[in-house]
Amino acid sequence: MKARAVNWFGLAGGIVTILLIIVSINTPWWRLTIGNGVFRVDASPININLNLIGNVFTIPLIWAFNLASILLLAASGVALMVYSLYPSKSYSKSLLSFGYKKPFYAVVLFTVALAALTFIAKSILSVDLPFYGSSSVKISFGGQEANIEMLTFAEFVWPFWLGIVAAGLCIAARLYHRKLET
Amino acid sequence: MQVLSAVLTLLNILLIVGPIAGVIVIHSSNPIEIVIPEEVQEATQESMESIESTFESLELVDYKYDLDARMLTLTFSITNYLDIDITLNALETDVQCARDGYPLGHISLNNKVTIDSGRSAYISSSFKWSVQAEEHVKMVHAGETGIDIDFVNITFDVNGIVVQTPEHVTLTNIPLPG
Repeated sequence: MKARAVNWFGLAGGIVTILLIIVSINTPWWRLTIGNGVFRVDASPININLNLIGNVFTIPLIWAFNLASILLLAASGVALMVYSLYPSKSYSKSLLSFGYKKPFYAVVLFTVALAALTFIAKSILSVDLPFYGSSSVKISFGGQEANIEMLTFAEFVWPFWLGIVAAGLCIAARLYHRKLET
Repeated sequence: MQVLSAVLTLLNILLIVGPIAGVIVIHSSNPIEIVIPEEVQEATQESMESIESTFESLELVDYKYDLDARMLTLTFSITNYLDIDITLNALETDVQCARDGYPLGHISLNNKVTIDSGRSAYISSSFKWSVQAEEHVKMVHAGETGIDIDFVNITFDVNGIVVQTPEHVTLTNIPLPG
């Protein structure tokens, strides 16, 4: 009896994608800290929190994008898992096509958005927000000649790397599908 | 196959448009809240008030002269009205006579101090005065028991945020050594 073909990369990619959503609800992909806990940004495509002197708040438009990301990634994970178990069915290619790109897009768009944010902050507002690592942000209030210098630290947190793993597995699933077709 | 592809494409659109449309509908009466919610404005306002209250709570509670070393140790109490613990890492300021702006010396923080949220703590700082300052006090403030002083060129480091301000702070009636 011939064993049923399974796209193991796709199955792993789907599971890791669902796992990524769960862990990203409480753990950010990227964290920016200004001062020691004075201002903190916890960001991921799943959840973005702004913490100003102990007050945590969410911006509704960003919350909507986060919800859309959660729903898209969840749909992607489920579609990939279903596809992976039945890769030779007539509908499988549609499911694969629907599912495999989303974790990759999430990682790439998130990274590009962060890079753009730090670039815009530097070029337009002259605020040197770090993309990664630490820097000293200086703000001058010209009229009053007051200066504020803030120790700023940015870091990628482990769910970001899990996102890269999920994206890699999903792309591997697409490549492995070609092998299954032959 | 084509039906499934169409359904998945529709699902893609719905999952993106749905949450955004929902937020727009919820905040249709005040669209600015989609980007800047009222809670952000309130939190900013509250934080500013808490910072102000914390500074206003600063009070001189003790002082000790060391005439040989020309050193005055000042102890202040301060209450942290913020929702986070704060650490005063450094404090540097020049001191002037409040009456005529004569430079008297320099104050620096003795040790860094952590003040838990909602708690009070003592801050100890040292004021080192110059020989010229001593002459100024003897000449201009002869017979007086206290002196008003201005803190100018104030620099402080709170939680890694270093602030240099042109604002000056006046302390009134600092007792002079007998």
